[in-house]
Amino acid sequence: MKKPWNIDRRTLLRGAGASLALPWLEGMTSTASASQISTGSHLPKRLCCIMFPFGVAVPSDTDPARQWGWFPTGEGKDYQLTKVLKPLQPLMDDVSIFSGLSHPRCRTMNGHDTGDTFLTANNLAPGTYRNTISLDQYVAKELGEKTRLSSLTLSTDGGVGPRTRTTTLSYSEKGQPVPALESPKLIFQRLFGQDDASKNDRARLENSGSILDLVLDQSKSLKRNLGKADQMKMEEFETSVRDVEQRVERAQEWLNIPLPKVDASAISLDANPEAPDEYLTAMYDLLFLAYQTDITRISSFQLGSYGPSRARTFPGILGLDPDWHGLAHKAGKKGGAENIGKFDQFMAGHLARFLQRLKDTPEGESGSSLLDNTLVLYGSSNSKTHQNVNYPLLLAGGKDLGLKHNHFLKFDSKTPLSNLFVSMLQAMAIETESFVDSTGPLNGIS
Amino acid sequence: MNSLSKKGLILFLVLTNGNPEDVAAIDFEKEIEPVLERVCGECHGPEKQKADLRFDTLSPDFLKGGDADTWHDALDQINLGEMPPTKAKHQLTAGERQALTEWLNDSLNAVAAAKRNVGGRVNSRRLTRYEYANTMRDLLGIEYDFSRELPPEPTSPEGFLNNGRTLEMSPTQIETYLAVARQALDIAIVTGEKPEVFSVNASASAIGRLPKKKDGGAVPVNPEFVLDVPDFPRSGEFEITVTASSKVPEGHGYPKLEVWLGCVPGIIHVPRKMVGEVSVKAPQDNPETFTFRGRMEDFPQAGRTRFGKNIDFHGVIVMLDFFDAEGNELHYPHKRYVSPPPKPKKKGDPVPPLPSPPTKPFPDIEIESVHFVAPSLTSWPPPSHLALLNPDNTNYKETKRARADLEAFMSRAFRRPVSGKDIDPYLQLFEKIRPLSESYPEAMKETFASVLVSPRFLHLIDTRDNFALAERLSYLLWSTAPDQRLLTLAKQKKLRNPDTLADETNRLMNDPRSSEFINRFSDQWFDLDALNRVAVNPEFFPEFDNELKTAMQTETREYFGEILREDLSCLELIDSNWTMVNRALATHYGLGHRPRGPDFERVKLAKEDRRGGILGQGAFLLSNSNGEASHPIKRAVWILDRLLDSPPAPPPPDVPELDPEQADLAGLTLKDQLAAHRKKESCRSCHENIDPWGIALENYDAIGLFRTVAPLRSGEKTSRDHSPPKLDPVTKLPHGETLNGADDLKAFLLKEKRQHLAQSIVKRLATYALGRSLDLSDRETIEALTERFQSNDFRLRGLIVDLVNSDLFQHSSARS
Repeated sequence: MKKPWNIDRRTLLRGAGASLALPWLEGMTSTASASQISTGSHLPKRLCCIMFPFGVAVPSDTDPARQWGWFPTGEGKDYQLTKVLKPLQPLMDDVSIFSGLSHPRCRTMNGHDTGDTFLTANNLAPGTYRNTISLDQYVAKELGEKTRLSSLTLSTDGGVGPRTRTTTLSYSEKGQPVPALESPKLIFQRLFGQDDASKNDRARLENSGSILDLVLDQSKSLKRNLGKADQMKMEEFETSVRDVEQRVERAQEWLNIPLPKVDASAISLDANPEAPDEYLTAMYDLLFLAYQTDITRISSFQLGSYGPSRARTFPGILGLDPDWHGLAHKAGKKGGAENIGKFDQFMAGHLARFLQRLKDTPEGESGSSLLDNTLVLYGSSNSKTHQNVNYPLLLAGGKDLGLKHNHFLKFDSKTPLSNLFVSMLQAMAIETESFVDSTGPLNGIS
Repeated sequence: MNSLSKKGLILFLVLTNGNPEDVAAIDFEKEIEPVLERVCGECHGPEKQKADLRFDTLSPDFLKGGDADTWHDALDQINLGEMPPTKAKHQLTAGERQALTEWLNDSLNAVAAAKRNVGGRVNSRRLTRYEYANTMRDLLGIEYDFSRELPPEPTSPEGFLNNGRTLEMSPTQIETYLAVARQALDIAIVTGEKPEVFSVNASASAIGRLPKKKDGGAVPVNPEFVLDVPDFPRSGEFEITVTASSKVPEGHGYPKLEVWLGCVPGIIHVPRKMVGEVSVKAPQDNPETFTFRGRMEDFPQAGRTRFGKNIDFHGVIVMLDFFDAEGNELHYPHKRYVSPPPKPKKKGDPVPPLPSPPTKPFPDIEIESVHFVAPSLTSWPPPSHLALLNPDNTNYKETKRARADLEAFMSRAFRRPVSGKDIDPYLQLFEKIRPLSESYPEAMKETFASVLVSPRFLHLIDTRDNFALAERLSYLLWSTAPDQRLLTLAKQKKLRNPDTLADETNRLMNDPRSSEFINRFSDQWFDLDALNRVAVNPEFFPEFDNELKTAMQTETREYFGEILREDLSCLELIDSNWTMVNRALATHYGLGHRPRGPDFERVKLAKEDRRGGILGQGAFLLSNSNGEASHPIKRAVWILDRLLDSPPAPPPPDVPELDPEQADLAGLTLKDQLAAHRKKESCRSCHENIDPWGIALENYDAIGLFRTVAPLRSGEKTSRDHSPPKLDPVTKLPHGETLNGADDLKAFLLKEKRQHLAQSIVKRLATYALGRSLDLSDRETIEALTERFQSNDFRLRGLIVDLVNSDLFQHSSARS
């Protein structure tokens, strides 16, 4: 086991140039060289997926509380937003709203389990609750290498959470949850974390290669004395270590590429979920900034969780019952639609602000905006609470990617939400005919 | 302890030489095949394949045919008397039964012996999330949320999280292990001067909700105690000490004190997080001091950005909240204040009279003092630092110092002594990193981090030596690394001595750390996690407090713990005249005897309490409901799988859920719906064996409360004209026994299913202890353990000692 250290390779990679610190990141990848970045003839294509739990109010058309229902009235081009999505009115040229869609394989699941599968479309395996790859990570596999961070995973609660109540929307190719970040300060550091304080991080990134080499050697020497099945398990370990080594190497390639200068003073990095208005503003500001600076092109944001969550008390900000779950359950009761509708309106306001910022940011030479090349999926995996059908959903942006907007499209319950995923993948020029249980692209949006 | 176990257990394994041809004493084609065709063929043949089983296509070649596991299941069914069914037309003659079981046994033994040499078994495994967290905590000597970013483990087919085959590894995990190691080492190893310590002490609340005017009235106000901490460190451990006493009237429970830490960024929200809670039992003349700890960075802190316009205070606040034993916030009826004082409804109306003071006695908490200090340091550098970078080594040259520090750390991290050769590569890493690092401690942090990502740290490696045995034992009972004593015994090669091993097993069971075994094993065996997957619908149970779920989990854990600690018979899992509850849960159940506080106590149950055994516990009843209604099928499957080790076959793909709105089910009670469902041919063969086990428990609703009337059906309104139908828990088991409710079910299990219970307990325990699924070659040992367990009156401690002393646990027979 006296294998010589693989020093030369790393020394070469590090180069002589001034190195810039990069935080130690999950999914930090790039094979692109500096010159390739943002000089291609095509503008970057981006994806942002946002989910909130517990569903919305769905009063019938004759219900006096219909104005507090999430879905618009009317259909097709001839639709009217209710009070809930009114904040999006100025943006409707860039927004499509859908009803009827859901993940057929997830319908028999417990209503509270479907946060895990919002972007994966698969029933969790019985007993093991094993999941499959999520839409954003699927896209990150294809496009993630073009940017410093292959993707960015956010949630109000951070980490991964328990199975069936995860606090992240993103799942790796193996179906493992990708840990989410929740603190604006940490997110900012991950995005732009180079200053004097992170000199340490820089040194650590350089050490990581050597550490992983050592770990690999240890595993190889250990393996020799093990049974066959144990050896195969150790090989799984080694494959994972090698994969991380590659990520470290790619991260080191980025060391010579300067990060954009970013003024953080306008963002409340100290905001936390206990103050929802400031917190949501900060989270959307960071998402916007990540896209604007092309640090990443793919993100997911789970706003709340079906399990215990710091976002449960968010409705309290409006003077409502500070229990989102309870509010959702009472949506069908007298006055209930108005209560949850007001909260959904509050969240739609934050979404509108985010979309507006993307729209106001020009990109390229032909008068396009960031929003024209960004797909923003927003919705819940319940219609009314506990019901895994008729997800409230909207898709914004992507005009340059061939999407048509300003309509309310109704689908029957047979149409899988995955059809929308297929349309989104195709709009992002990812060659695919299907995603999980899709039956084709979604009619009417492109 | 158990005198039997001291002697050590000799478990015989019938060793064949691994050649299947040697056991061809019984001719399959002549003696077995015709019997299978005649007796089993009708249901498991070309016409029908109940339970997806068809004998005429199973290969009688156990080694190459790939059907050995199916044959094994068949043998179990025959041995347990499940097959052929008693009411079946064709039965086995005594001679046929003997030939069949002998043939199955011999063939299975032969294939097991042959398989042992193929190495098809995963014996080494990585640490689970919780084992990793415990091990890191003990190794580094700091409190930290080590597992927060690690993905949760997938469960094995038997419901366990520590199965080597299902435990996976991914790049994300490797990255997380390295990141966590670095973060934790940054806390454990310190550089620089001792940080400034902030300390605040108070004996009176900074602000209260008591109005200033004393002429308010007698409407009780909620007391709270607030301690302002204007200056504080943004990270590091803090300590809050509270000295308090209580006044508790006769018949009341002990009041509860909650300690929170938070800040005041805005008007509406006070972001805060609970630090801890205690039941205050100390009388007023003898107050008690409680200590709470946490890390500043885990709690909300005021930011540099201001949210509220009128808030000047930018510190953190310690808040104490007071509750009675039932969980209601305490009031101050004696303070005779209201907040705000009563006002007339409109101008000109008379001022409303002050409410009269309550006359009944009330519980109360008196706070003597609250002390906040951060960072809380016992010494500088802290003990964690001194344990990792030994000050005695500082006189050495750096390389020698690094070697000494590494040796100490690595032998603890790898749970066995390390040689100079083991240390060399890590020392080389240190020497490579050192010139790039600012200081020795910084370079050592990185070197230690590499140890913490090493497979020798992250895995329990099946090295077949004394150290592997020590490791397996301590991860079984403590879910963490072996202590010094175990390692010393391993080093002296004494651990394989059956008496020593029995003593050590008992020592570990007696240690408070065995709560890890109690909690982890009962969580996984009984699937207590399922409580968190059920959302209680507040429309059905508006009064249900979600904290009861935690109490229910604790009840079942503590119940299992009591059986272990007191060395009771495991048959008490089925029925007993006691349980473990706290006040809130006892109140929920409506028990005659209620503990006085939030701590769990053993209470005696009366017949009319209608509890006793795990089937009367909220954890089982609620987690196998859907949060609205009881779910007899889920409950039945749980009993068959978790208690009787006879899980029913999974439902065929695409079976629809029972839809009560469906025309033929509308208006039927749940029991009748299930009966209608069983009439369908495709459902019957499985469900006639499933449903009865759950129907017998229909007297317990979704949240585990006893009821005697049937629940309302969907869409049905209460009506004065219709009194709801009386609940009918009478059901008939497949063998023909009639059960009338839970008591009959329990009696039946204790009388008729002892063999199943014993085998189930042994198999679950062995599966957990070994961290792998059991296979054919484990069969004989499992049977021997089961027999002893049964003859030893189902005592759990004896079983654990026997298991640890068995060839399975010691891996003495499974050498590949």
